[in-house]
Amino acid sequence: MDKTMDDIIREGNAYACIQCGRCTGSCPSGRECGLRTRKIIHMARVGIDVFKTEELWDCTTCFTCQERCPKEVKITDIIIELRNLAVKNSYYPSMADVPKIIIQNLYRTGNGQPLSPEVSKLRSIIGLDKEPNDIAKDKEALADFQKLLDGLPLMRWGGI
Amino acid sequence: MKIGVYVCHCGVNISNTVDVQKVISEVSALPTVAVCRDYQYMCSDPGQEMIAKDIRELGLDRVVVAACSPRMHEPTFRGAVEAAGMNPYCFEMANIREQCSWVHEDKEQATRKAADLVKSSVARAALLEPLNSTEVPVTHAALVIGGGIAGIQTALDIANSGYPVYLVEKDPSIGGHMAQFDKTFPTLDCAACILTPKMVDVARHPNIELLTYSEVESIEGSVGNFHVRIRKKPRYVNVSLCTGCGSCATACRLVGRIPSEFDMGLGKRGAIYVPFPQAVPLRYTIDPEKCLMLKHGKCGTSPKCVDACDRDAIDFSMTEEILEVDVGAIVVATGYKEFDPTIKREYKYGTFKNVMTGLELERIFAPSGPTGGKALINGKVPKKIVFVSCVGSRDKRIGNPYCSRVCCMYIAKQAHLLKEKIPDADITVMYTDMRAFGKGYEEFYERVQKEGIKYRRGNAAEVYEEDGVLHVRAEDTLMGEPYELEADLVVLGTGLEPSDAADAIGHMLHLSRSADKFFLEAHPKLRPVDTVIDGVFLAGAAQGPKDIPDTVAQASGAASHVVNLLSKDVILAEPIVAEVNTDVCAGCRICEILCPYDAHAFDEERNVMTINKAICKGCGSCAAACPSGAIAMNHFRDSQIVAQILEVI
Repeated sequence: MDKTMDDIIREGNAYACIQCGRCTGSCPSGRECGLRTRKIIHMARVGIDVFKTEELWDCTTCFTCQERCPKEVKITDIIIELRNLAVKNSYYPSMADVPKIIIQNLYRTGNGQPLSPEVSKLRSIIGLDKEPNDIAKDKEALADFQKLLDGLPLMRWGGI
Repeated sequence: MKIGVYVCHCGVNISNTVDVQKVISEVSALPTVAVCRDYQYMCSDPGQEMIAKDIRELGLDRVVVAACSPRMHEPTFRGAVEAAGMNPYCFEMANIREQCSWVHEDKEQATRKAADLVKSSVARAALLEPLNSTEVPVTHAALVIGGGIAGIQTALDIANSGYPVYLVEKDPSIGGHMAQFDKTFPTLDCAACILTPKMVDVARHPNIELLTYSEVESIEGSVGNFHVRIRKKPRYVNVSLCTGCGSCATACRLVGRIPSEFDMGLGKRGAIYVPFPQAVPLRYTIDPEKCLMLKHGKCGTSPKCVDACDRDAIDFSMTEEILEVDVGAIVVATGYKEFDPTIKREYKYGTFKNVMTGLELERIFAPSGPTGGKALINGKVPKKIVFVSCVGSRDKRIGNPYCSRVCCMYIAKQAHLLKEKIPDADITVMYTDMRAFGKGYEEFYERVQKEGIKYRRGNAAEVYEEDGVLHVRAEDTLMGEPYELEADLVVLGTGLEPSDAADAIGHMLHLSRSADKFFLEAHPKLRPVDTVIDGVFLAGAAQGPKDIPDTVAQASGAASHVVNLLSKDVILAEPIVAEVNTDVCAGCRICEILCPYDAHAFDEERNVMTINKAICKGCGSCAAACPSGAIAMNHFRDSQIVAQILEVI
């Protein structure tokens, strides 16, 4: 299942790219940040390790670029694959505090987005238990789950 | 049976991989082989002479040449044996180059294979039968379908060579798209000034029968003898009485109410109209879809056009006519249509009136157009203008993967014309790649940039509106930065697609289309004006997107091929065709369905199939499918093929 850069650009049809820039021009994220979709495809094609770039993580995977590409390059699919390659090679975005918190939450509660006090209150208003019957409630199950996570490279990213 | 076998070295192309001497010694041992020789280049004069000498001196019955592919040199050797007095169909070719030496590395195995291939050809050669070409008379006239610049040039060239031409055009006037243009790139010649004299020449030429407002209904027959039915649509105006004065058009109740096709819907006409003032013929036509009299049988108290016409030229009782003509050759010049950018929704064509196509802008420039040549878009002079290239071209998503070839240059021309008319206009061209390939094109591109047109690499991604102002978003790919421009006018550089008429005409003539849907030429390099159907030629954008110089060149090329054909009184029909044994044929008609060329005709009286030799291409589909074995393919009879196979298994 491990895809190489070559697999990714071939499967994504990146060789068909004519560098017209419709992707960058269409990109809603690119207007706000440094993401240059066309440049990512170009770098991938010429053999630069584009998975090391931070901008890769600015894509919201809205698929507008892929929808509009006149050459049917699977641009968003390529970006997702490049992210997988980045994680496998331990390249995480340095600005990624948000994913860091998600990993910490996952480890502590078994849930990327754990129960907030607001939701807890809402639950009691409509007559539900304050906490749902999930892994966070069952301390033994949570310990087992943490054992599964221990040692995964991803955990280091979360500072665990 | 005396067979002569000649093994070619093809320089070293064959002899590097095949041991020619070993092949010779094996083949010489065959009982039917009278002589077996080798030579460096069999196709050369000394090589051909070697064969001719043996035919004369040894009295050979059959000749086998083991060399390249028959596609390459079969005609050469057929000619050589025929010159020496042998029937050309007693010649057989073994391909030991493309199918052996070029594709193998092991010399021993390649030699064995080459020997097998030659022996197999010898076995087949022994069973070949002499065949004779039949003579087919040629009708000395031509049909040209399409009255754009391609059809006009083709018709004039053929007519000037002295042959009659029927020029069929579906619209009320000839001229095609070129008549819609204001100026032409890169010389900025006025399109009308260079086109209208040719249109008039067509109308006046004694050898041209101009059939406007007419469509080809059906085509039967084959090279040298096509029978064509042409439908002349009723104009409801007697062309021999009409003087083109235009009183009727001014009088029409619907004047200025119907979108003019010629003006891309931007200008308006009445129900009785000429498409444009320089129309040829300058005769009026009534639009049956719009005319009140023709649609409702009533137009006020009496039709105003009739009242206005001094010559009594209007005739509502006119009906369509079918004209039948015989021609020897046909030129397809059905041209192109502009890509409809509505489906490229991000450009908002059809939503905002100031997003327009290249051809629409062309009409804005034209002195005879809807604004009288003034640069007015919806009544205003645009100051901020953005051109977008490759709309409907180089786009697999909408099924047009090809480059339309003319857009880069017509954009440059239109940008220049806008700058000329509006000197303070801010004009930006957003382009994918700049393709200025023709004579004087690169120079024109440079000129336009010097005039202040901004070229920014990177195509437009989308158009949106905010507070009544259009914005175009793109990336400047040379800076690697996205940007936005405000625009009063967005011009889409729309590409070219085959015209709608191509479907019906292609079907009638059994023409193939390439992947881009344009008509397929017989060979992309060496036969660009021929089709695989003998006697049918291509001219202009029907074969692929083309600018005017290329179209005119191809049109003259097509005309010269037509003249070449028409200059003969008879042509020889290839005898490698299918033949029906009517004693065996059961009349099941399976072959008829399979024939890609419509060469089969069923004889109802005798309940048997017949095959027109002039149409049959010898593909063999029918012979292979015949359940009773009643069809034999000349030169590829079962016995000949079986002998050939048995030798190699």
